Amino acid sequence: MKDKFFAIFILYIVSHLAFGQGRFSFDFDQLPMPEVLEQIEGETGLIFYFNEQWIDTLQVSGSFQVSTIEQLLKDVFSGSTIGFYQYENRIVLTNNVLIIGEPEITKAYQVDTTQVNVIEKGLVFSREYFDQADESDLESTVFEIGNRNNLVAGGSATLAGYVRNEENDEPIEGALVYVQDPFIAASSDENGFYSLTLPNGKHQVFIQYVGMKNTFRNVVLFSNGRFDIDMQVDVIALQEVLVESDRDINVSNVQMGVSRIDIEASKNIPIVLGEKDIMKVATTVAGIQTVGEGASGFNVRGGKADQNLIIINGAPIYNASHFFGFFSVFNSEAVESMEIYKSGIPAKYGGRLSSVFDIRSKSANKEKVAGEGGISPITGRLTLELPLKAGKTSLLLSGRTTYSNWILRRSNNAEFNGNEVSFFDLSATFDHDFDDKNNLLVSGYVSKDKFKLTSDTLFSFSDFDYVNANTSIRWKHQFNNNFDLSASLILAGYGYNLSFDDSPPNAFTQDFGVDEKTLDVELNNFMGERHTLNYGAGFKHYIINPGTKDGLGFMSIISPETLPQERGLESYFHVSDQFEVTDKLSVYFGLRYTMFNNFGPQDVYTYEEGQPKTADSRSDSTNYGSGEIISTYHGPEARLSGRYNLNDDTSIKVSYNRTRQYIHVMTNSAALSPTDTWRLTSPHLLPQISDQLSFGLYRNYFNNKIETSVETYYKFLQNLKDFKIGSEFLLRQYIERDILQGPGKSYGVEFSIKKKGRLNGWINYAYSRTFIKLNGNGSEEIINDGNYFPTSYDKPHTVNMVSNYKFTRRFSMSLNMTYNTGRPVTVPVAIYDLHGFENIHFSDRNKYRIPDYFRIDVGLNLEGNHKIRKLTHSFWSLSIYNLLGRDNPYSVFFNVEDGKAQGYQLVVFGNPIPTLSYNFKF
Amino acid sequence: MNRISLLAISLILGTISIMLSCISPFEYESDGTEESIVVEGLLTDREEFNYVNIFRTRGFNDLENEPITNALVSVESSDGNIYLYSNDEQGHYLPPLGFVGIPGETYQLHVELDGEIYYTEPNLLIPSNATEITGRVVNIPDPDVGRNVDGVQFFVESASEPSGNHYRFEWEDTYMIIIPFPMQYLWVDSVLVEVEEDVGICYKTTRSDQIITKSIQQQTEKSLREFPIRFLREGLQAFRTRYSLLVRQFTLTSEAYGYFDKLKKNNEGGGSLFDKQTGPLIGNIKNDNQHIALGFFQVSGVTENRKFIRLSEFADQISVPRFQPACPESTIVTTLDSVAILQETGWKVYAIEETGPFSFNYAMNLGACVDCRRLGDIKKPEWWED
Repeated sequence: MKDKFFAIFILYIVSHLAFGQGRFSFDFDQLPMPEVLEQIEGETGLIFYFNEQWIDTLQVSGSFQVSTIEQLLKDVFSGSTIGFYQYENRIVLTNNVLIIGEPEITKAYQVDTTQVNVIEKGLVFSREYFDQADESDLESTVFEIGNRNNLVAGGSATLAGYVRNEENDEPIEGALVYVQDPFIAASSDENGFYSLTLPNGKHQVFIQYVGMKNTFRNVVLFSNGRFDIDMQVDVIALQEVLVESDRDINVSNVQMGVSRIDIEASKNIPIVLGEKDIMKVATTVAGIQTVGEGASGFNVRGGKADQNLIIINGAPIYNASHFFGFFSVFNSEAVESMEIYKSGIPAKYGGRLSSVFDIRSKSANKEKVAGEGGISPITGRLTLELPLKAGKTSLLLSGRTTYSNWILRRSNNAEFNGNEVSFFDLSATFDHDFDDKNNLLVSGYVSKDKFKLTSDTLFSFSDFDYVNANTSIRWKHQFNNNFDLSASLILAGYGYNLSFDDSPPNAFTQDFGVDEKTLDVELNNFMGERHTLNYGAGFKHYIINPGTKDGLGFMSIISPETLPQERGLESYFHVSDQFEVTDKLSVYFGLRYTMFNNFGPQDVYTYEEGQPKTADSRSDSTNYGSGEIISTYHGPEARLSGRYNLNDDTSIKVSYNRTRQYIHVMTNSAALSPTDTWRLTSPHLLPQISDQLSFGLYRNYFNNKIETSVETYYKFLQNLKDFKIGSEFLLRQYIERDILQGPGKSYGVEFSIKKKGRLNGWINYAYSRTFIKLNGNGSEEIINDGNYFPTSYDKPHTVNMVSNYKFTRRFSMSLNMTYNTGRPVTVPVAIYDLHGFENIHFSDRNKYRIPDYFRIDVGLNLEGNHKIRKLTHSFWSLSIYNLLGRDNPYSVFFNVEDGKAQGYQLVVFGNPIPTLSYNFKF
Repeated sequence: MNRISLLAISLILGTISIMLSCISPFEYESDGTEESIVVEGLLTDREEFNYVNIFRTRGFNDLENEPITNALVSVESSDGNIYLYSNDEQGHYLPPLGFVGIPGETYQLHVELDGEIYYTEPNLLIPSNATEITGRVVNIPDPDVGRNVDGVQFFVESASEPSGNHYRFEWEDTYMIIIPFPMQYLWVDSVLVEVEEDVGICYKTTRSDQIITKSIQQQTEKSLREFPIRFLREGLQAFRTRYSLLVRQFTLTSEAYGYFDKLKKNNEGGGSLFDKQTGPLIGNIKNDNQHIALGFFQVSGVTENRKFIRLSEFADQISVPRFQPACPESTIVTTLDSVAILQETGWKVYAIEETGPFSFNYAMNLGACVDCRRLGDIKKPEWWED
């Protein structure tokens, strides 16, 4: 690719030489511009068109000897506001307007070269530079450029190449490359490319760039040739200067409902059990609620926990929790950034209803080995950045594991003695630059949780483990600065296995698995300043093993049971344009079109019309052969956003989003559990569809130090999934007999204030409601008389405060506060006896609420000294979770005791939990 | 759905929560109780189990269900006969004498109450098979004591080929109580009178109060193997003497199994991070006008099996406990005056020893150590085999 680029460049030079044969020579002395133009017209036969008022005050002095008309005019008009446009032999003058004769896109192929006066320069033929003292000292080395045989005495040649940062091989844009005598200069472009046309011979080429050490090279130029220059970082002890390119993003970004989680910021947030956790930080953003303390899953703007697309490097993670939800599966040290979309979801994302959590893993440092790690009471972790080939290839390895088994074994409580709980996660990111235009990123991720637990009834001793694994391979090709392509192959899987072996006749093993393969192509096209096009297409292929069960050991009498695999194909294309209509108005037009097919082999039942779906009401069954399409669903998803700047600090935004979801989690509890199964859309399991309208007002104060926003939204939902009482989803082939589907609605308003500086953090309040209506056939399928009722994750009021104060550069303190309304529950309303046992009769679903949740956490961070030359940099963090020790119920449940219904609450962390952790970096 | 896997999962989840969490009482206010009609019906192939009870749900502070006495109850069999149930005015409705269910037939319940008709679809009676009770010593965690304990686990196993796939079990266990100092005399009107009844041996009976269900549908071998039914923790008094366990097996239709299974989950509240959704559970009692009747009309074949065992047979693995409650040291008095004073505070004479002419020692002890009726029922069950 680089060669191709170079070839274009040479062509360009040649063309200039070809057309530059006619030489122009003019001498003007304080001549008014109109007369200058007349002279030029006379000499060249060109005709000028212009408005006299623009030029009648201009005068031209000096001697002009140039090879092209273009250069002549450039020189003549230099210092004025006059531009020009040539069309055949007519020259149109313009005032302050640039006329572009060719589209932006093709211009990218051209390289801006600085045309210079050609001055003859004596060439030193002596070989004095061969006895060079120190080869490693670039400034005292003499470089020969070009082919000595092609030397044209008294001619000139072009020196071109790239200016790069020696440390990370990044191109340096805007570096000044020049020679002093004659003074000829050029600056490097975005790719670090520069070119200078110089007289053949010996030169000292100087290179300057802010923040880099000034340097020079001795070159002997024989003919056209390439010369790359590496610059070193200039270490100047200055106070840190923070350059933020998107500090006004709150106001200026066209998308709304977007949050970016800064990994560094998450360091200061006190957390339980000593793990800094970006997912936990995410739940302090307005509109994102946790299901409960230590539980897996989030509810985004009244969405269910399975409606969030969590992707790392484009690959989805089906179970984002370790330890049932106490930790997220992402080791924050290996994560570069996370972006959360609550509304205004770009068209390139799809497949889940409520939100997108787009996580990018770090790419390792390509120049030197670096590492980071930490130790807390539960886990140890380590991240290594390994350059494999300097400047080209790097590998990031990151791992985390728990040693809770060690703790459990030392527990005095006998109940824990037989228990084993462990987890680990590993990630690797391989990053290779073939050249400036081609990059390959291969990332892999695996996490595993393993449990072996004794429990309170005979023979429930059991093993359970679950694994997330994914791989993404992405090739990124840059055609030019404005046009790039990414092609990805993504493999993602989640599965679990449980087994039971304590009673030989009843021993069994059982599993579940979901497997997703995606082929995706995405193109980005920056069409000038006003349009950014993004488009692409792809396929997602799903295979779900809904469950297999088999006897374990020869004595087992458990019969093997295999549910037929579910297969589906989601095909999609998307196109979007971000259009800057004016400086004030920006709009985003996006369209995604998805089609979902599921395939046989499968038996599908139909049920009697108007009857609840049960084994008794099935009317017919159809057998679909292998590969036969069972059902097809498709539809467009419009993604529209607009932003209007009322002034520099204030904007309003509006967006409309439709999202469709074809894979659904089967869960009967509020939290996601690792034993939940995912099932594909089928003739009975309809795709979930959401339409969200949102509106927001954004304003920044004090030079963007304080960001405020108000966003409001309304969602119309179709085919939300809920479940019959007592339904089970393990090894359940005909899930339509357990699920309930109905429309839903969610609405709310979110207020948010964010502050930067020494005292930094955010406070937000969200009012949000979410309802579902289940009105099927028969008493089992009608919930709460078929009226809208609050979902189990409907929490109207949420307040979050995250604050951090830096006392010194080494010492900071943080204080966080969380409040939310208790979630709805179903409570007993009566008792009745049957055959000697007492039973609870329950209220309408979700008619009551558990008590409100309130928690304060504090954290102290102490960093080691900031000496640059140190083996490791470390910091200690002490946090106290739930400082007030408030009993926040996670759930409530009821038992009948002595003929009375007794309520109990489960409190996950009822006491203040202090955690001390040590973290290091090298 | 396999019970064990579910159990295993819920227990794992439960244990995790226990590890880091705590459970405390929760007070809540509901809008008061909601009264509903409940129909509890059982029709089996054995006459003594057949009845229908109709009552209203009760509030949390009521101990008794309020019976409904004005219903008209009948059962229609698949051969077209209609059996009218008699009403005892206490909410109990009994079938006509001699009416028992016949395996292979179906039965439909009709209840007419306040002008509304409640009914069920036809329910098939599936016969039950013979069972066997086995037991062995195990070590498992016991939530009541918060640690692993030794104990004897009893299992149900099929003893003959089952004709059904789904079961509900009830158990009833009885152990003999032998007290150390059964009283021989009572202080009546200032004289010691010999006790007519032997109060040294009683019988303590406990009944299952939980729903126990099991399905064998997903097994290669259609029989029940090692199904845990009753666990006796080491240290229980039952280990001192003779013990009897009765297991009653009802064969259920898949609909009935589904109902009891769900009912069980509904009652089991939870206490884990993954509590299941609960809600009003409707059984097989229908009404065309959307009136709700809770409960179920269960039609089942039933078999019983009783096993007698001396738990001290396990003495090599399980220690035999001392008598509980611990008895105070016996008091020996020599005068009736002393007996009169002591008996005021509950002491009873369990032995009189003649130490000389007109001089006696009266051995006294108190509470359950002299009277087994404080611990169990003195009446020996008819079926008890010594």
